[in-house]
Order: sequence, then C-alpha cells, then structure tokens
Amino acid sequence: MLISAKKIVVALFLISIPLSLFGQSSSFNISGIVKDVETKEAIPFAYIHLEELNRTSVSTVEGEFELANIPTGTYTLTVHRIGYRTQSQLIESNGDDINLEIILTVSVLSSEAIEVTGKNANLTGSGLEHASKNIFGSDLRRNLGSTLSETLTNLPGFDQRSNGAAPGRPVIRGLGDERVMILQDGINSGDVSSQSADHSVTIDPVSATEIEIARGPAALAYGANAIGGVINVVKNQVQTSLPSKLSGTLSLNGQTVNTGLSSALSLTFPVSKFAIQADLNGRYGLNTNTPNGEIDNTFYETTNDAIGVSWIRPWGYVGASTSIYFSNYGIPPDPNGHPEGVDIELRKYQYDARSEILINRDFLKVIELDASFKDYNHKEIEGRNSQGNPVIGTEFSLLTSNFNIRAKHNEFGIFNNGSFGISTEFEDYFVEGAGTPPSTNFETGVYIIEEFDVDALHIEAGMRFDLSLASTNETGLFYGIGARNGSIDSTFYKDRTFTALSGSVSAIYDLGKGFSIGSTVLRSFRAPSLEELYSEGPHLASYSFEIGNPDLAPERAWAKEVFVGFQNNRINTSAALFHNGFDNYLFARNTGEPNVQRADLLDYQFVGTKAAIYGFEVSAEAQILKTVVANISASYTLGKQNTTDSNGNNSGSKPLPQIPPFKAKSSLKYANDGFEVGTRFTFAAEQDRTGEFENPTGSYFITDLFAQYRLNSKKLLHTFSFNVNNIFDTEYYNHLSRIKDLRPEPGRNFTLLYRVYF
Amino acid sequence: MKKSFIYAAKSALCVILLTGIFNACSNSTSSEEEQEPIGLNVKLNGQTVVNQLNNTVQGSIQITEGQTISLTVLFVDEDGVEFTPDPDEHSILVESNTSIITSSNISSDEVPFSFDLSASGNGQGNSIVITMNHEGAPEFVSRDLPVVVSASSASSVSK
Repeated sequence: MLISAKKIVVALFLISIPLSLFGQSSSFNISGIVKDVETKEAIPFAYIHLEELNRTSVSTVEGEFELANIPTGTYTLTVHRIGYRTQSQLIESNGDDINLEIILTVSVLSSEAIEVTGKNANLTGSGLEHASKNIFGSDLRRNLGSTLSETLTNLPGFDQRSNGAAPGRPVIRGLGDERVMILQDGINSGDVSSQSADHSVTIDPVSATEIEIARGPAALAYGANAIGGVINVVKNQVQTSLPSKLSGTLSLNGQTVNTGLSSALSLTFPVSKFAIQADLNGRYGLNTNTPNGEIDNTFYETTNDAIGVSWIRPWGYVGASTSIYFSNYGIPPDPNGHPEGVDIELRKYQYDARSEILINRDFLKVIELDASFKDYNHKEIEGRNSQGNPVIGTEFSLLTSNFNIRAKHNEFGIFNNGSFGISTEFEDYFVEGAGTPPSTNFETGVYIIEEFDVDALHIEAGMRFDLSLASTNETGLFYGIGARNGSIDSTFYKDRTFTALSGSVSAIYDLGKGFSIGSTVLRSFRAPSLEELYSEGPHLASYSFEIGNPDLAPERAWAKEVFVGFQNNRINTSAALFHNGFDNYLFARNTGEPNVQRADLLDYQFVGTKAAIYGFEVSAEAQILKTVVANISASYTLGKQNTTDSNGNNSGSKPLPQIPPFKAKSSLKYANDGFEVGTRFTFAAEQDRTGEFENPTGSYFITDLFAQYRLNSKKLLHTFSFNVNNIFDTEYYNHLSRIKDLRPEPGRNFTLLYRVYF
Repeated sequence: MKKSFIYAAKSALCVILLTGIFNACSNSTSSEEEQEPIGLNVKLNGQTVVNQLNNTVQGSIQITEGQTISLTVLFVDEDGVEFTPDPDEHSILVESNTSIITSSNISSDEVPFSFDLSASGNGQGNSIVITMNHEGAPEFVSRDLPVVVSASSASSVSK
C-alpha cells in the first residue's frame, strides 16, 4: 500500500515535469497588507483566498500576505476575517506584480455576507455566485459539532441522518446518501457512509478551514449524481502557497452531553521551497444523555491525523499528503435487531497527491492533477463469544482510487472562465459476513463547465459524460427477495454498464440595487451503487436485511430551482423554490416482511420508482441595530413516490420515507468589539407524511444560547465559543434518525471551544 | 500545436499508467461456497413436527406439562434439501418467549443441533426461536415456532 502511494507521488511528479515546461510564461505576484478601516491597524490571521486557482494564504502578525506565481489574467480575491465583513475584489494583471492595501470593515453580520469591491462594485452577476455557499470563521466555530452533519445542520435546508452520536451524514433539501457528495480538499472521502445510517463520514470537521457547498454546474466537476449538492471540507493538507513562517491553530473543545472532549492542532510551516502541513486531532465521548436518560452504546473515540508536503515552484506546485482516520464507536441497542448494540471499529488510510501547473499560454491558464488512494475497513462487532473474543457480524472493506485532471482556461470568445477535465474512480468492495459478493466499480467522466456574462446576466453551464462499469465475480441466480416473494422476477448476478450525458445551466440576472433573480436546471445521473445492485445480507447495525437488485436502472432526475436574492450592507436575504423530479428514484424500501434467513430483521429491498422531492427555502439576515443582528430561515420539503397497481399502471402517489419536516430557525445576536452573544430558536413541525412502515415524529421547539469572544494579543488571536444547546432539555425526535422510534435527540448540552491562531 | 499534442498524449499515457497502478491494489475476493439455510425442520424421533420454509411455519411442537422431549434441527437450503452445518463452526441457540418453556442444548458429535425442551406449566401462545450461529454470529434466525403445551393427566416424565 505504501509502495502504491509512493508510486502515485512519483507518477504525479513525472507528469509535472513535461507539463511544467509549459509553465514558464508570464506570471505575477500579489502581495499586500490587510488593515482595519477605522483604526488603520494591521489585521493578522486574515484568510486570503484566490478563488479561481484555489490559492490560499494567511496574513502575518504584521497583516501582510503574499501569493506568488499567479498566471496573468483576472481573478477573484476573497478575504475572510473573524469580526469583519468578508470582502471580494477583482484582480487583473498582464504580468505586473500587484500590491494591495485591503481595508476590512467591522461587521456583526455573519461571515457569509460578502462585500464585492473593485470593478464589480455594482454587483454584476459574476460576483453573486448563488450556487456556492461557504462556512468559515465564527459561523464554523459556533456550529462546530462532533460530526460534519452536526456542524451543518443549522443551515437552512440542511438536516442530518443519524444513528447515535457518531454516524451522521448531511441531508440537503431532503436529498442524502449518494445524492450528496462529500469531499475533503476536493477529493472523495472514500468511505461507505452513503450506504447506511450506521456508517460514519470519515472527515472530522474540527480542523476544517472552511466548508464549501456547491450546486448546479460547478458540482459537475465531481460527478453528475450530486443533485443535493457537493460538500467540500477544506483542510489544505497539500498547501498551495509557501507560508512565510510557522502558523497554525490549536483547538480544545469540551461538551457535557456525553462528557466529550476533543483537541486539534494544525501547523503550517516552510522548509526551503517546501510547505509542510500537519494536522493532529482526537475526539472522545461517552454515552449521550437525553431528557429520557442515557442512550446506551453511543460512545466514540476518533483520531484523524495528516501530514502533507508541497514543493512550491515558479511553474506551480506538486505535493502529497497521507492521513489516517481511526474511529471506534457504538450503535445503540435495538430490541428488534441487536439488543446489546453493535460496536464499530473503523480504519481508513489515505494517500493523496496533487499538482498544479501554470500554463498561461493562449488558451490554457492552469492544469490541476490529483490522485488519491483510500484503504477503508470497518468491522461491526456484535458482542463477544464465550472466549471473550469479539464476534464480527459484518466487515466492510473498500479500496478507492481516484485520478482527476482539470484544465482551466483564459477568457476565450464569449467565455469569461471555464474548465474541463476527466475524473476517474475505481472501487473494490468486499463484504464479509453477508451474502453480498465481492464487486468492483469503475467510473470515469469527462466534463466542461463554462461561464459568461451578457450585460447583467451571468450564465454558468456545464456538461458531463459518464461511463460506469459495475462487476461481480458471482454468477448464478440472485436469491433476493424477488426470487422468493415474487415482488420482482427472479434474476441473475450480472455485470452492468451505464453511460449517460448530464448537464446543468444556472443563470443569474442582476436587477440592480442589490436585487438578483436566477434559475438553475440540472439533469442528473446516478448509476446504482454496488450495494444497490448486489447486496444481500443482514445489517444489524441498521436493523435491516438489505437486498439489492442487479437489474436496477440508473437514477435520473431533472432538478429545477428559481431563486431571488437581495444584499446590501445591512441585509442579506434569499428565497428559493426547488423541484427534483426523478425518473427512477433508488432507495431501500422497507417491505415490512421478516427475512427468510433472519426473521429478526425486516427485508429492505432496493427499488427504483418515479418520485419527486420539492419545496422552498427562505433566509434573511438583517443588522437591525449597529450591534444587533437578526436571522430567520425556513425550509419545507415534500417527497412523494408514484405507486402502481398489480398491472403496473400508475395508481397515485404516497410519501417518500425519511423526508425532513418543515423547519424554521431564528436567531438574535448582539456583537460588539470582539464579543458576541445570542440565542437561536428552532421549530420543527410534526412529520406525518411518512413512508411505508415509518412512524411519524412530533413537532418540537428548542432554544440554544451562544456566546463568543475573541482576544487579540500581539502574536496570537484567541477565540472562545460557548454554547448551550437545547437549553430547556426538551425531548424531541429527529425524523431522520434511525433510532427515532426508540430514543430522543440529545438533551441540554454545554459546549466550550477555545481556539488560538498563531 | 504539434508540441501541445505530444504533451497531451504523454499526459493521457500517464493517466492510464496511474489507473493501472491503482487497480493493482485490490481486496481479497476469495470466498468459500457454503450451503445457506433458508428454512429448518425440527424433528422429534425422526419425524418433522414443525418446519419453516420461506417464512412460512407449519406444524407445532406438542408437549405435555412436566414433560421433557428431545428435538433435533435440520436446516433446509435454497433447493429444499436438508443439511447439517459443520458443528465445529456452527451452533444453535434456543430461546423461549415464556418461562413455562425451558430448553437445554444436548448437541453432541453424534447428534448435533439437538436440544431438550421442557414444559413446567401450561398456557397459550408459547413459542421458541431457534438461532443458528456461525462462529458466534447469527446466520439464521427462525420465526416464532409454536409450542403447544397440554395439561398433564399424570405426573410421569417421559424422555
């Protein structure tokens, strides 16, 4: 395995050499200083992001920063800093170095609010970037949870699928699992979290610099299946710029609801022309407390550590990183599945290599390459035998290899920006302890994404062609539920090939004075996963016997969205209506029938059906006084599937399972001079639109308190975040929790996060 | 232009090589073929008293209050053929839904997958669940198998 990782790095380096011969053309440097608008003092620890090239830097104690070797062209430079309004400005150079003085304005609005300066002072379409959302700074710290989904769940339209404390996965507008792609530094996480509610996401949010969410054409660079969106956790494990000196963060976090503790150390430093990035973090928690008492077997202990090296040269950079993710966690007991609960031991080793070569000839601006290899394994331990040894019920192993190459071009014809590339993924999947046979999946896709403006209209369009090959060594009759119960015809194991063309167009029109309106259309494609095709076995941790279907057709959908927005210095609002119409929505249907081999488990059969998921989302943030900000948001999602009669004719519709209820959230925040305090209210309506064999959940209203304080010293920036979640210890049930029929969500929780930037 | 094409070709070659490198690493795919149970026959003195196949249970175990009977389990595969799993790797667990019915495992090399069933009283709705474990993990769990307990007319215990 190590040899393989070494080969990846060497191969990338070999690729870089010929390509780097291109990269001797004109480039320029951006340097500057970040200052406070009122005091004119330098601002340290500002996060500088050159968006088109994904170059990042952090301002020094003196407020200075530098980004070197930028190919000539036009770019968006964004500066984030806690306590200040995020600022974006256009940078253009024909080869001359640029020195900037960036003046930041103190703001009490959330860090999502973006002030666009420079050429785009009138907010032309290209500055709006509706399809993307970034979470960083104080928002990220205030919402930081023990899982990625917990961290995102306060965003409008976001929910989390859960099964105890550790295995959470984000759900966006009712879309989850394979329909939401989770990446770290742009690379697939390589775990099996999309398959089942008991499998955890192998990315710890504690060391995230920022979290990006992309929808529409931009998401096609990663796949055509992410109809819900792409979530990219930015950790910069391979640095893209050479830091001037040692910098980093140290985080310490504690919470009372499960006596949880976590710590994280992130370091970046230069060694000659090399940039080194190291991350160490650990997380520990006991059983979770609820208003009804403790939930058994909800402990976790996790570590996620990484080291990366990058060689920064005038032609670009090449770098590699390696990381481990080890986690032991518990799945709570279920009298109908596993009365003692299941313990999961998870191990993931990851090796990444990436390079960026500056070309900047007539057409091409830059080429990006990345390769990644992940070795994932988890064991589901169902108690101990008479000798005291663990009894492994099911063991999942997944080897994932990714290789992506992407080229970005200069302004070309009517196109301002654009990129095209190839992404490939190879998965080798092996399950022991279940009837699921060993299987492999190869996916490759080519795509092109272009942007252009027509006056105040900004258009982004993308197209992608995918080829997917799923194969298994198994032959013969597939003894799934259909073969026995007649719900589908008996079938055979078989290899499957899928091809499809997908596309997306997003148009945003600037109405002036801060108003904008737009629409996005996406034609998605998702080949059935190996589990959906071939699985046949008990899955005690999710209380089910899962049965695939080798004849499944791919999932295709039309996703449509219209949105309006308004932004000025005091108000930031948006509203969206969305509709996702599925030709063949794939899901594990609870048949309500006990399995023939495991009568203690119900059969869950993967099926495809016509379905629709639609709804609306609104959010508004307003600075109502100089130091007071109010925020309100609401989201509502409906899901339905078509039903057929015994002749296969359409006979109406019924609700889809696992659709979140109507939710409204509001918060009020006082912020002044590095201190902020506020309260947040969350209301969820009753969810009685339930799928087959799914129980409804009641409405709830919970209240949180939060406070943050930041303290600047000469060389350090200290931040303290104190939260009290569910302050009234309300008993409530998450409709997307796999254990919602048995146990409520966590009770009152005091959390304290200390983070120091140095 | 020609130079660009050569570099593009080199890059494509590298992509293919890399894909080959990745594919060289693979999970073990060896697996042993084994008969899988989809049903069972519970036998008393060689006669099937209750059986389960494809989720359908037929028959019942008849026992008299105060009586102990010896039963043997044979499993049924996809083709409807009775089989006995390897007793070195497999075992059975018998659980009752009431305290009236008790069981004890009497499996031996000669008679694997056997158990004694006793009834200490009579009542309605008695049943047992038989689990076949493979190296400690459940491989087959039966549905509720009915046990009909009749009141004793004499205090004799047969075995």
